[in-house]
Amino acid sequence: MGVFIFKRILQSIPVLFGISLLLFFMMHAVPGGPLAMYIHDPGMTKQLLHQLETNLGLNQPLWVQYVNWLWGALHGNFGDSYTYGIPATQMVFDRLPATLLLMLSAFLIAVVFSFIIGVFSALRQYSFWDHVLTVLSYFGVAMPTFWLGLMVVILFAVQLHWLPVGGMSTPGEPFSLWSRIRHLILPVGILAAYLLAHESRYVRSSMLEVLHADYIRTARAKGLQERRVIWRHAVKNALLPVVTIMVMDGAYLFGGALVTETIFSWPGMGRLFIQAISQNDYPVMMFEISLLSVIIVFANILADVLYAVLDPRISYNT
Amino acid sequence: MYSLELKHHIGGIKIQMKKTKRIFAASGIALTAVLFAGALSLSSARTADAASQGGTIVDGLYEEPANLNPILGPDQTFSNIVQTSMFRNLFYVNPHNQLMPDLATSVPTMQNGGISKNGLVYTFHLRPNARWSNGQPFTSKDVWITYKLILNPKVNAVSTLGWTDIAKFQIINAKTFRLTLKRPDGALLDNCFSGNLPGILPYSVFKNMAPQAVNTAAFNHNPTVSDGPFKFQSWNPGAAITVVRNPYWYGPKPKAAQIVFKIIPNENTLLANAQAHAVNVWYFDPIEDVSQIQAIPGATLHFVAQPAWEMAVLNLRNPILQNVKVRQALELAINRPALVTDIWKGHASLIAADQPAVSWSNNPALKPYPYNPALAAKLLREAGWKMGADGYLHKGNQIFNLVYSTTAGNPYRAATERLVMFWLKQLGIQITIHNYPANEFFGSVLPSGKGWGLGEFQYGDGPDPSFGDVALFSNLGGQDFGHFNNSAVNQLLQRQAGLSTIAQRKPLLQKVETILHDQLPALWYYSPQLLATSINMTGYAPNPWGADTWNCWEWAPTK
Amino acid sequence: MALASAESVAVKHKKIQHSEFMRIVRQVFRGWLTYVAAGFLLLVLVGALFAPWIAPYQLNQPDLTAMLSPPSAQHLMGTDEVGIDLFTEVLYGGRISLMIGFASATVAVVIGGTIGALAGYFGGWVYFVLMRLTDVGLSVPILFVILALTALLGPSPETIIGVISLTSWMYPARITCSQFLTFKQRDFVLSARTVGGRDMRIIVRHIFPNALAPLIVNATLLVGQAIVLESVMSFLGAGIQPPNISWGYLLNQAQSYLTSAPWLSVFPGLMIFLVVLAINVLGDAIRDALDVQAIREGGM
Repeated sequence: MGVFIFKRILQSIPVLFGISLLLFFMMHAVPGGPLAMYIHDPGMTKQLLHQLETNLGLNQPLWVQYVNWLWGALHGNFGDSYTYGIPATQMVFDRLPATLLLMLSAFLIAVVFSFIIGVFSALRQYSFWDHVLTVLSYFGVAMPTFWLGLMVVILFAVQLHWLPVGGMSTPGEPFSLWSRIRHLILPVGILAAYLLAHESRYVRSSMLEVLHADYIRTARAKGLQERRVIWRHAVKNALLPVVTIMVMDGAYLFGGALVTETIFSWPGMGRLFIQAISQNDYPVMMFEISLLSVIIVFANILADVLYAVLDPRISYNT
Repeated sequence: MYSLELKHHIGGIKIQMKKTKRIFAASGIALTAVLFAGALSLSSARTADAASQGGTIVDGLYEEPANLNPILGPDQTFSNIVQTSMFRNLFYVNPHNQLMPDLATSVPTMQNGGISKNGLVYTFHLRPNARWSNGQPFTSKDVWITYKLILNPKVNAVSTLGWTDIAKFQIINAKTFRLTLKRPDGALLDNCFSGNLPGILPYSVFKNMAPQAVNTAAFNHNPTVSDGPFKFQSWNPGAAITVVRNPYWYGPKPKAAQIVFKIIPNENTLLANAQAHAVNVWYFDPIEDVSQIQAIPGATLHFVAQPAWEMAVLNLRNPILQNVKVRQALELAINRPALVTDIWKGHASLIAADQPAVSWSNNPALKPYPYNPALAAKLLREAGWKMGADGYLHKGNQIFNLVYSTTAGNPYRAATERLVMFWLKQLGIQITIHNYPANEFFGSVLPSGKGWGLGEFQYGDGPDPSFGDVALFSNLGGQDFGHFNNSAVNQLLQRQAGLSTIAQRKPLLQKVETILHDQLPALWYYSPQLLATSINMTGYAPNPWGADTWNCWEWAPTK
Repeated sequence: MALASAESVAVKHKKIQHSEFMRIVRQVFRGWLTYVAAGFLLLVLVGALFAPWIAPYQLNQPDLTAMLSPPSAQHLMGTDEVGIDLFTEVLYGGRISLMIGFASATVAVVIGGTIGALAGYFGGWVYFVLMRLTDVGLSVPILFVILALTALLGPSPETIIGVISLTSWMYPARITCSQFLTFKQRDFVLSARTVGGRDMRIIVRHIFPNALAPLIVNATLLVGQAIVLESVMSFLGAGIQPPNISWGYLLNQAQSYLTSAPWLSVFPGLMIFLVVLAINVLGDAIRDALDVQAIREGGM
């Protein structure tokens, strides 16, 4: 197993390198460029624009720019944001705690509840509750977050005044754990609902497959208690395909929930990414993408490892 | 075979169960621990403290400023708003477009001798009690260091207009300095010394800084020294910027103890914040939300005429658009009065050329084109276009097709496009709509001159009305996207730039207006009013000529 | 053991396949819900196909006297900000949205399924290369690829289908691969191998039907995802442009009027939701039916 992990990590390196190369050139191919923000400035002249171009290093050939970036990246220096002028790493790390808080809360809730709902649904297949839960999960998947999020804000914050309208804290309000939780409830609710809808269906379908498998029938025929059958045999094997989905969902959350963060004015990484894209802020984009890629690649490895741990029939040594 | 497999399974599962149970338990505890740590750690270090007497004003910003340095680009409206609460300049422009003294004692003119008769020498007197927030006096040295840095090619200056005209900078004493220009520049005071972006830097911070270090200085995100009614307290990235009263400001004590600029990059969320009374000020409200904002208790909607206009620039590289009759036909065929009444609910005014009525270079003799589709059809026939069997105009084997472009995601522009498409179809003109995200639209589509026939956008002018004309419709500026390049206009604009007074420049600029009206390098739509909302507060007065925080010392919350 | 003639074996084989298919169909339509879902989808498809004949008004025909009017007798679903009838727009929008949804999901599943099957079955370096490819696909932020590609190629429906498929094939690939990994070591495959079955036959006849179930569930989710993704693209200015209209485009136009004209977001949103719901119900029913099959085949 250790050898396997080490090999996978080694294999990730060309993947990451390939991603950075691909994205760097795609980024520059997109029309617009970081100077687009400045062109429309009233005081902008051709001379000033050219000056800006030189100062930002944008007038050098693309290969040179990439190599400079790569060299810096390997030393931990991802350049300064074109828009803000502060190091790209600092910009992302400033917003990391906010994203982590949102993401971990939502992930935890989603994982726990999707298991409960999925298993429950599978055990009572085609029952009234199964149908209700299925419909609700479809709702979560099909409903655009921006609509649902806004409706929720309008109901709970504007009409009922139960919860704050957004942000991590209310200006002028002294800090407290309860205040933090109040600000988390709506965005985490929306995020978790979406994740739940997505994952509970996989749990359900995986559970159903397992429940119809031979060894379950045999275990029942042997006279084992229903509860033992379900918990000790069915659920553990149902875990397999679901684990992949959950690990990957977790990894993606690091990218931040873009729409949720926008609606709830949550200062996270997702919003930063959207902003960097619209401003063509290359250093920030490259760093966020690199960070995300590393996380996802390692999440992949983790998923594969968990696979092997959970299913003795899968062996990576052949 | 079954039993063997099963044994292996059950045995294996038993072991797994222990393992997986442990894994689950461990990860569950770990997650919860991280959560709690996270919730606690993101604590008050950056959150604003509850304000002392005076209260807090919450200002909703649609966009987060890139930096708070008065001389660095990009030129963002919201950056200007935040900066104007902290930084002041020698003069400011009031809502009546009058230049007023701020950190200077008086506005130099030829009458009071502040400007020499030949328009080349300007003398400035600084206010004796003007100070920076660190207690040090505001002196000529501050202006001098600004001058040095803003012209340095290594600095990403927001604008060098006016500064490049300075031949000699002479410090007479700490509160007096004199500038000698290379040539007369009537817009010098507007460009260099009114408001921010560009503004004035503190000498104490920048005196020893290397020019290239200015772009990434810590000051840009932590402006420790400022000279306005408020001073910087904290910046929570992506969330809010907080400023508090500046005890060293020369003016009256600000009524509010602090202003929190909250960053809310979504119009619907801004509306929700306004409805929940979570913001006191909301700038640039979308026209579609007006009826809902009016329903908010305690809200005051401010409608102010502003020096901005909405137009569709015509790409004169396209042979179809090179005939002035065709351009006039397009203007006549679009029901601009309907745009004003139905989309803007009357909160806009028709324009004859680019300058709206509030601008001093507006030519009152010009009248906006009427809505006259019959006349438009006649002009098109005269230009050689004949109606084809498919319902569209043809000339030879060419069909009359134009690409209409604007920024994506803008509701009133999206509505305008579909109406224009419909109105022009009545005349046989085929419109293809192709929108782009703002960055791409301004950064590459418009400048390239390719892929668009009509480009709709809004231009906001400053106190000097020749800005827009020069930038958009002459070969002197950088934004002549439609390739107008009219020699008469070029000459007029160049001549007026060398004159010193409004009285001298006005006739020339009004002539420019006449040409723009007749030649239609752009279809003139309307000048929209500035919409801003203030909720549960007094003292708010929107300023279309400067930043809305121009009088922020007057702002006081009523709840 | 007498050897039957080749012809009668072939005939018998066909008969068995036909009756298997009919059995699956009957399994699928076991519940009343499936009938409802299928019926609704049929209705929507008919509406979309015959939009030009069914629509009460012309498309792109603004009416300044009836801007933003709520649902009424003249306008079943109300009108939008320039007075165009929403019901007409929803009908026409359905054509594009449904086409994009089904086409993207199909292409994504075909690409992903093939890649995953090959990787899972053959293992070794094939697995390595294809899985790394999937890694790259998964690690690249979807949004970014979408923006870049539509900026380069223009926002036509074909480009959008291509772009959505390009960013959705990874999950089907992973699922198929994991299914193949699991099943190829199962007894019935091992025994098929021992008997001397060829690789292609094994993949298609034995493993694939079993791998199909989660793939179908995934495919149905993809259709819904594609429709929703298209609306996010419109939001970023990279989606369908007028005169083409899609439900996503309508939903995004409605953003500015969420509280002032809620019907603008309710009806397109409802259409998306109901269509995705119906597709998923059908997908689940198919999955359940195939699963029953799997038990029969798996037991062997």
